[in-house]
Amino acid sequence: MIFTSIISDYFRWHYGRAFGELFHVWLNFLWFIIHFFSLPQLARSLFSPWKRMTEEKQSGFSFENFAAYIVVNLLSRTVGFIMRGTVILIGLTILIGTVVTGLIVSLFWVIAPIVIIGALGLGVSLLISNTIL
Amino acid sequence: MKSLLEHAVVFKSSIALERITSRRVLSLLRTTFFWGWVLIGTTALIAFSLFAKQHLALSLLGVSLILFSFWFEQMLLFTYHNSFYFKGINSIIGLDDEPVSGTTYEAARVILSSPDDLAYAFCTSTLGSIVLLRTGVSFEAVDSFLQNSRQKVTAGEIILPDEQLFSLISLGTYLLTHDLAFKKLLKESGISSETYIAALTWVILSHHQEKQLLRWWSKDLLSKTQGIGRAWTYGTAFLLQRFSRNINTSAVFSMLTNHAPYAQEKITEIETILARNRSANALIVGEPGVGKIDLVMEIKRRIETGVSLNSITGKQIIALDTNRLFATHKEKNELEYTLLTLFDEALHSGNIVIVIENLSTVIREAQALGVFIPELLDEYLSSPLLQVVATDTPGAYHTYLEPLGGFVRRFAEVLIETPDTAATVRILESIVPINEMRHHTLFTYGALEAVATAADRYIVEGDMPDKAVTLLTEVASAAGRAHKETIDSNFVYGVVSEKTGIPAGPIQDSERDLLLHLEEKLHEQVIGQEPALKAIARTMRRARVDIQSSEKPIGSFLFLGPTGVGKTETAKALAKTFFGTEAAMLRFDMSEYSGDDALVRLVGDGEISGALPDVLREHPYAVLLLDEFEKATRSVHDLFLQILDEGIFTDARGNKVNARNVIIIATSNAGSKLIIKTVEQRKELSHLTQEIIDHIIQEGIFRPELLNRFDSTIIFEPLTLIEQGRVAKLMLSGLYERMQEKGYELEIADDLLEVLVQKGYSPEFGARPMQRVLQDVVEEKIAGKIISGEVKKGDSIRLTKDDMTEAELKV
Repeated sequence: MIFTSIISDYFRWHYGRAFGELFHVWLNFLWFIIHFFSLPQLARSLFSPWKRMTEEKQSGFSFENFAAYIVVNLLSRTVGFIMRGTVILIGLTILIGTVVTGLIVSLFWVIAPIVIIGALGLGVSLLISNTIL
Repeated sequence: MKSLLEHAVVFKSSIALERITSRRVLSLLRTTFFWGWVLIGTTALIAFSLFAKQHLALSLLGVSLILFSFWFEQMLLFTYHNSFYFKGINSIIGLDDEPVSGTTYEAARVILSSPDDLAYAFCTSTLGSIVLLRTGVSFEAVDSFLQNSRQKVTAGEIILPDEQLFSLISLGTYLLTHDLAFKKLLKESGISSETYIAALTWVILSHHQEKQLLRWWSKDLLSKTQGIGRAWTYGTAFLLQRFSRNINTSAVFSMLTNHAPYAQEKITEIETILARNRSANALIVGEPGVGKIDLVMEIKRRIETGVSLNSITGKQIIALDTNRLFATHKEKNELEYTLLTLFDEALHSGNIVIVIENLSTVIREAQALGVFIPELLDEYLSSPLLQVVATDTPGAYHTYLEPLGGFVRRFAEVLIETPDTAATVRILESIVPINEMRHHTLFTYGALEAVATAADRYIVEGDMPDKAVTLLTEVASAAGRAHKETIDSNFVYGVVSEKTGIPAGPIQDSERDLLLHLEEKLHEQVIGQEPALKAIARTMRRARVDIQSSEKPIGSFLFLGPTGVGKTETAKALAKTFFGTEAAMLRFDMSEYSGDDALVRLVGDGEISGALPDVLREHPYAVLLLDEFEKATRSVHDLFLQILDEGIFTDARGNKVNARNVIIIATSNAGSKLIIKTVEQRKELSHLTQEIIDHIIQEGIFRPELLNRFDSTIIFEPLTLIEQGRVAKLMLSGLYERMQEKGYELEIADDLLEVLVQKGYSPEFGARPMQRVLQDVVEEKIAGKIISGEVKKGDSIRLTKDDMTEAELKV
């Protein structure tokens, strides 16, 4: 009796409230990935110098100083771009992966009970047929 | 709107599931099935690809698929259970304002266990039992309550409005207001409604807060992970990092829970200051131990986890290690250079918030090397690229920082008030579990309240909540040593009394006897003065049962009367009675504080410490005797005006001095002549007390506001001849004892005593001449007998009138 009650209550939940809750958790994960990879902050400062390592502009023109200024700043910004770009790329990949996984999980959720029964049935039949043989 | 029972029934299946297999077993099974599935599946793959054993591989695959289906089924069941188990948790612990209707999982479980008797359901549930234990209700009382016939509250009769979450807090509160028998149970156990509600809230909220930690997928917990790459836009301050210290380890406690709105308010205030465009520096002012650095720590945590204000995202909070800075720099130039380089680097980094603790001390230490920090750092403080958060005490702020004018205006002041008892209890709630686990004991809520109250009232060293936290640790450790399982308020007060020597908490039998017979006890040392001793005893009894304000000294008296009538003796007797020894009487001769430097000598100046703060810090529990109080200057009288009123004052260094655990006795001869005259006219003295006080005010000896601050003004009468005789006997008993110690038995005949009493009697000078007479006549005579060899050790000396010359007996 109690098992019947649990099973019927479970199915009501599985095909009802559970979708809303899964969606909520999925949003949490998306938020976390954006937060963890600091995507907005890194995108805003994509071309900024790496850890503010820059050469100050000297007063008065000197080719040597000007060249040093250009080279150091360019180098610092390139390093900054590579580092930030890499993190953004990894972050975006994982973000897209999570979006896709969310969609797959939602679809899979619909057939989850059938998957359990199918896996159990297949497992038992494989075990029986190969053990007897 | 549905009934409570209808709401609870929704949880029936999930609760039944937990009854069949607990959440722990579910987790264990899930893990086992998962690893079984993965391992056997991998083995099947290896068997198939490496050894080409198809049958074995397929059998293993079959097992693996079976384990997979079990694991997956457990996963779904666990997710299903979680959905009910965590329902409404954000709303309860204050993370979410969204309205949730129905009941919580715990409330439903309790309700469904006995829907027709909610009081029974609550009292027999695990959490309900903990609530009652914390409240201080005994198991016997609960058993007898449950067994007695009573009107029962049922879940069907409670209608729950929409958009209202019914938790165990709601159930406990409902029982208090609607179940008369339950209310009676609490009342008979001596528990107030407020204490019960507070204990209930504490237990249930802590349970939900612990539960929340299991929900790793919640936004709140996910946000606690620090993001990567946020500091890459900013530079690195290498020198500052060399002179920095880790502030994560400095805090003893944290008052920053979701239920400390005051702390949240202060955090927002500091974050808003740091978000300003210019002069975005904060100066946190508060007594030591109120949690100034905890606030900074919390802001650091909020920035790192991305929940702070957007405009301060990416800021690095670094605490300057001033000890190391001054230890490594002994020259002015060196220190200046390091400071400038350090601040330049920090400025260049663009995201640094430097934390300087005890700013005024740092300024003074630098000044000792000739470096004037306010001038040196002024331009940095005005820059939008660098911020400073400094801390200091209110005393030091007023004494040293305020006079710096412009420099202080670079900071926005954030005042952290010392938390009151209620806020302190909330702080204690968060640290109790650690102490309970360490000492295998349990605090009732009443014990927590007692710790906060006693720390505030009786512990002089430190400030709240720090001293309450220390006391809590001491109490837990004492309970651990005494193998006491449950700590109640009596135990707390017992520890406090042992520590301070002051009777605290409920009055015990021996103390009750002492208080009820205080007059007799004082009379053992003081002769006569019936009305005075009665008045003192009355005041002390009032003080002990806390009818008087706790923000005042234990008692304060002004003793008026001629010299030698027992004023000092009464003070000594009070010290002995209340603090166990006459040495607990701290005597100040106030005639020494009659010059221009009186106040400086009493409370000190910036350089030297004062006599009064020193003595009160050394002996915080004592009788403070202020002899000849009328001779002190007006400024000294003004200081005592504050001490008598608030029980606290500030010394010249800006530090608070606690005088709430002393009995203050000021003595004065003022009005003596009037008192003697009154007695001579055989008028009833008690009726003339007001007349004497008016006379003192008219003469300008004491101002009326000062006289009114004393709990009681006590008039000491001149001694009568009979009382003088008793004084003489008391004095002689001391002499008898001394002689006995030397090996002689002394006896003074009654006829001689009578003459001596008459000779020593003086209404104006009281018992003092009597002392002199005993010295001049009796002691002199004994000395003569011993020196001449007339008496030897072991002999008895009996002095009669006949042993004296006429001159010696002359009155």
